[in-house]
Amino acid sequence: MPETLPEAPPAPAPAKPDREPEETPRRAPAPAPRPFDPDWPETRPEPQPKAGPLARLQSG
Amino acid sequence: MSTSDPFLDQPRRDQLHKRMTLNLLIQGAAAHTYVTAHHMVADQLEAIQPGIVRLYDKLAVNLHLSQWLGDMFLFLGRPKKFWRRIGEPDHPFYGHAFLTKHGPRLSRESWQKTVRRARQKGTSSIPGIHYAETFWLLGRTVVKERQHRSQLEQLGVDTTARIWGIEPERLHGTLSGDVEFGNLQLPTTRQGRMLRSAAAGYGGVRRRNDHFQVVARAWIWPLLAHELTKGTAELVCLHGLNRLDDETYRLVTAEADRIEHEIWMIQAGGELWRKFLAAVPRTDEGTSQLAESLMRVALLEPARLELLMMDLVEHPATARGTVADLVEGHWSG
Repeated sequence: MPETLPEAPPAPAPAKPDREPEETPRRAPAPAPRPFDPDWPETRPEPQPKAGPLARLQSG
Repeated sequence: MSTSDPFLDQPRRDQLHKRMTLNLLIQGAAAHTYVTAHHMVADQLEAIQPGIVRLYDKLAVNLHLSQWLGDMFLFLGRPKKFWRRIGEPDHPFYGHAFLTKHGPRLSRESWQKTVRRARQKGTSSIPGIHYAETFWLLGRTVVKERQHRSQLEQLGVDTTARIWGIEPERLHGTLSGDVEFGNLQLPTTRQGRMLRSAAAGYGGVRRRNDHFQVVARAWIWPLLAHELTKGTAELVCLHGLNRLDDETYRLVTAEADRIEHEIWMIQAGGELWRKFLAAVPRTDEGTSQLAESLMRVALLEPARLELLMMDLVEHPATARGTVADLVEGHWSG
């Protein structure tokens, strides 16, 4: 007599969540932005100063 | 453009255009401050020298008109022609998408606004009369300020510190006829040399013992306020340059920071800056997050910066949301 395989038990119904899943955040949590730090830029060398409003050529 | 042009490399050209955009904002911030700062501290100024606020009012608008009317244009060509030629390959702003699209209009709007303001303040925008008024107003201002220089310098520093939320100890303002300082590059054109001789002030940053200082030197107080703002905006915008390699940094600043560009940046920058100010968020206490906002903007990659500048002009509500997101950290370069 051929051996019969036992019938697989029915898969359990998925448990009903007892609360609604949380809404997927629209954005990934961002690291706290680095605050403005005047000494952070670390550029090399400093750019040349910018000239101001230009007055008359004769006045220079 | 020659084949030896270092900006044929697209990423480097993008960085050049980004620096030009930041310069536009920096010069715009300064131009805006220059015509408004004396109103912020009118009572203190009047306590130092009665009647000086009215004088500053006229002088600031007169000097601002000089950015379109001055005798520099005998050598530079007419502003309308400069902006009309922006799409030509030999134009200094050729290929800068934002300036090409909006530079002419921003300059025109700023000119129209300045002419209206001149009418309100009783100063002339007719070339010959305007010319004579410049000398008269400058002379009167220098005489009235002479006895009060140190008080006025301190007031300039305190006003700028308040606008930007930065410690006043970092700012150094000097009223002087000798305005040059720092590593000024020698202009390579005749126009550049002439413009350098006409500069009435300079503003920038200087590093001392690992600390950046803002340095400003100018003939008179409204220009000192202008230069202090320019130096502070430069300090903030340096955040947008600190990831460049040394060679790119050197090439980009040498090309973008030419004195020949500055008058055009002042023309178009003021209007752009006012649009930017309208997009800057405020804290719950009502304080403007100006330095933080500009720093976030300076950190953007070139394409995103260009998009934001376009939005400031074309879609202000979108730009407001973007700047708010940047400050809250939801967006990065």
